[in-house]
Amino acid sequence: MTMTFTDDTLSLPIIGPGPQYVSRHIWLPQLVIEAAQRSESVIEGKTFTSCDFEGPAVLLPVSGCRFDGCNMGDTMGDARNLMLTPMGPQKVTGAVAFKDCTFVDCHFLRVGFTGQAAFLNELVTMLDVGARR
Amino acid sequence: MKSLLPIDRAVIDAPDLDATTFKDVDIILYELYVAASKNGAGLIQGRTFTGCRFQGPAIVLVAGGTTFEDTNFGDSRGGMGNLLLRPVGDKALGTIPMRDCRFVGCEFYNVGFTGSQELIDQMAAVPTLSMSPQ
Repeated sequence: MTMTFTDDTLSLPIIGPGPQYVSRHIWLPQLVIEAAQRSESVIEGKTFTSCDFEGPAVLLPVSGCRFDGCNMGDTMGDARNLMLTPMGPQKVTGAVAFKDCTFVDCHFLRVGFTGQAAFLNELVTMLDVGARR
Repeated sequence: MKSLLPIDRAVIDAPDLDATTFKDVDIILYELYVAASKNGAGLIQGRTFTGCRFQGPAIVLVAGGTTFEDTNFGDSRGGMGNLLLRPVGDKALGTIPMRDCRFVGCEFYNVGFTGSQELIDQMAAVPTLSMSPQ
């Protein structure tokens, strides 16, 4: 099924194709809508600097993604609250996929993260270290 | 009970996302969540959906009192595990929580599901069907 997104539903400023985004407020569902309108199923090859990302969404870094100096969001006391483990080996459904993207000094709000175990473990470690500082 | 699936009608946008009962309409999940959030709720609660199609991308957190009857959860690519995620912590941030909701004859597109281990076990046991072209 193909859903049609009319201009009425996009009340926020168009985010655009990038690939460089600086100091932008990015509503993740809108980023996905715009990518879908360009027939892109993955957000690929973008650099986000000092951007605020808002969900609800679960972010799936497929490969080649880097997070530098980012605030991953309110963990509500436990970094693991931001994370979900995929139960299927072949596919993750419902997440927003990013590939070869760099996030610098970005802030995430109402965003969860999923992906391979190595990524989730790295994220837990990074957030735990950050919390102890 | 006669199945309502597959849903093959034209797309009909839900006219009121604050309604408690939805029938034969199409719903973009994050729009439903945004509407609920504007009313101060961080979750979708107490709604009944019949013959509805839901569009993601979204991960639904299936909370207490939510039931599914005659439901197509989406393209599982052969295994329900491909539609499921397990929270690593006690909470599942970034998801769309649904509590006390009833889904009858609904279809989901690009939607994943999460919840308690019991819920995940139940959904993982849902049989997958291959639909042959008519």
